[in-house]
Amino acid sequence: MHNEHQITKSVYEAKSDSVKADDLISAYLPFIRSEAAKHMARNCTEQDDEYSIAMVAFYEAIMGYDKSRGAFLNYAAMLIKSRILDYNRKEARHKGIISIYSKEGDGEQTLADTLADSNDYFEQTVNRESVANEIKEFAVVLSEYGICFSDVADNCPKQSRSVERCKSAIHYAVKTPKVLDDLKRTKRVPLAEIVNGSGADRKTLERHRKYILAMLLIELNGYGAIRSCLHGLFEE
Amino acid sequence: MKYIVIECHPAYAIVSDENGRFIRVANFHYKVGDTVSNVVEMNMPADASPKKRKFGWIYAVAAACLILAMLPAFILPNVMYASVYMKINPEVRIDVNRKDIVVGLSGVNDDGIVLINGYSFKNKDVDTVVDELVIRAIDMEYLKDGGTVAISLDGDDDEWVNNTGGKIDQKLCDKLSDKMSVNVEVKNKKNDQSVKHHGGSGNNGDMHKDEHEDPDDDDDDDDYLDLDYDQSNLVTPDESSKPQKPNGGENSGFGGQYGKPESPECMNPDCDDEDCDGCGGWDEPPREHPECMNPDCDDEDCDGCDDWDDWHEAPHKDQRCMNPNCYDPECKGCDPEQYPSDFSGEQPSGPSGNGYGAHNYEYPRQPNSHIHDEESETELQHPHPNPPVEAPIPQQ
Repeated sequence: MHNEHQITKSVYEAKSDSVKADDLISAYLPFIRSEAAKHMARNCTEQDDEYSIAMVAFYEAIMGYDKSRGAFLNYAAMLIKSRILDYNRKEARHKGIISIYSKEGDGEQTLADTLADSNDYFEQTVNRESVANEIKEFAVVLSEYGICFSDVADNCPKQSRSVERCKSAIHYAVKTPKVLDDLKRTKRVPLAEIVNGSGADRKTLERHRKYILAMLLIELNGYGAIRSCLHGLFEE
Repeated sequence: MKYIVIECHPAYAIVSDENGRFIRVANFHYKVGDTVSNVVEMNMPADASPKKRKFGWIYAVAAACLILAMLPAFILPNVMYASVYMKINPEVRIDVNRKDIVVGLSGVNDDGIVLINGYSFKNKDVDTVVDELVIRAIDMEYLKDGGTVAISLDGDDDEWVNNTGGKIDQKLCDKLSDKMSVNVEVKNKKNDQSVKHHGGSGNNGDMHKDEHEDPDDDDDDDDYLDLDYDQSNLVTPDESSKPQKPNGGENSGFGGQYGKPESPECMNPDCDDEDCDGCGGWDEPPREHPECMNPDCDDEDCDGCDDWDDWHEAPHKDQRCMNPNCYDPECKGCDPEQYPSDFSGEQPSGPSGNGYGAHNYEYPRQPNSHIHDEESETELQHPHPNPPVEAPIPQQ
């Protein structure tokens, strides 16, 4: 009973703090592994995809747990099971397909070694490093405005209507230097001007303020690599 | 769709797609800056980001007021007004509202619970529910031919008890009239008084107490032959007691006074008097022995007293001639002294020249005065109280 109270308390703390959520997940890794192994035909290792699926299911259990509905570990076990089953069902369609990384014959050579590959892995590596560096800087800039990537992910519009309204607001703000100057000066998004200028719904923009702020900061600071990846948003 | 990995955590990673959407996905050993294509998106529960609405409490108060205003319309029809208990062997309780619509149904004992299992009573009135439950009981073999259905009504209004009890009783009897014969008892549960009690009938549907009686038949003879007629009180009359003649008395034609039958009921099939204790003027006395017509004869084995029988069989109209061999219907009386042969069957010759001699005797007949002695084979004649007048002998 005492353990149950302790777990419940930890879960409720992890709901609002991502660091505590990571700590809780790390503490219950053996539980997550054992639950994943129950639904696999073999032992579960960290390299298995099911292991990652089980961990994300555990995180979903933390965010969705309600203590009035029962014990947390039972709820987490149920979610892990359903997620792994869904994943296996999705992967079952690829059963008859041979992996290009499967070894050919008795040697160490794989099928991928025999195929011609036009990818420039060096360029890809350079690009990845530059993007990573920009992302790190971007995280620092966001922290100056009091937000983080988790806030942006939570604040991101999900419905297509909301996405379109935010997109039109961002396009207007990017084209209007006065908005970016006000943003840089006041460290706040000038929603009134954006609403008047773009014609978007103020309530929608209020709801997704942090997301709009992050996008405007990408434009303001010239993060080209990130901007190139988000070309669907910035292109009209 | 390609995604760029923005942030990595032990359990998940934050990626951004080409349209600028930032989402959480399962971390398949991603690194920041990686470009991935197949991701497993995390399902965030709705409670994770609750949306607070302003003035939402106003809507809650308005909804509560609306519900309170409409509550009587939903609850009052379902308020129990009275209860009907139906007991066969399974016993059930049927709760009804003011309009006799069933609002509750429960089993009082285990069999009752089995009986109502799966039965829907919604929007049905009480007599329909009672009928259907009785049919279920028959199908489930709880109620058989000759069984009893006991209905108890528990209500404050006696008028409701009587009306509803009568309605249930009538409908139930009509329903069962073609199926089987059962007893239906309807009582007021408070004072245990019977509202109605009928015995169900068989196939003919006749609910009268006497199931063999034709209602159009006014002849009370059927009552006499009624099989339901309780004959246990009847006492078989003694052999020595016989019904009285109308005039009665010792000198009655039947020679004696017969005792009245011990049974208080009248055994005369022609008697229409319901209160008759026994017809004294029954024409035909009960005869122990069908052969002997002599009411004074006590011999059980008697085949018939000759003189008495012959006398009754004599075809004399006025019954004045005592000659048993005389068959003249107009004979006034044969002289037994003058025409003794007549009595033996021979034709006498007398002054009249006719075979019967003088028949102008006049003497009163004394049927009982003629006694036949079987042992001596002689006829004994008692002196007539009024001796015959001799006829004058014509002189030659």
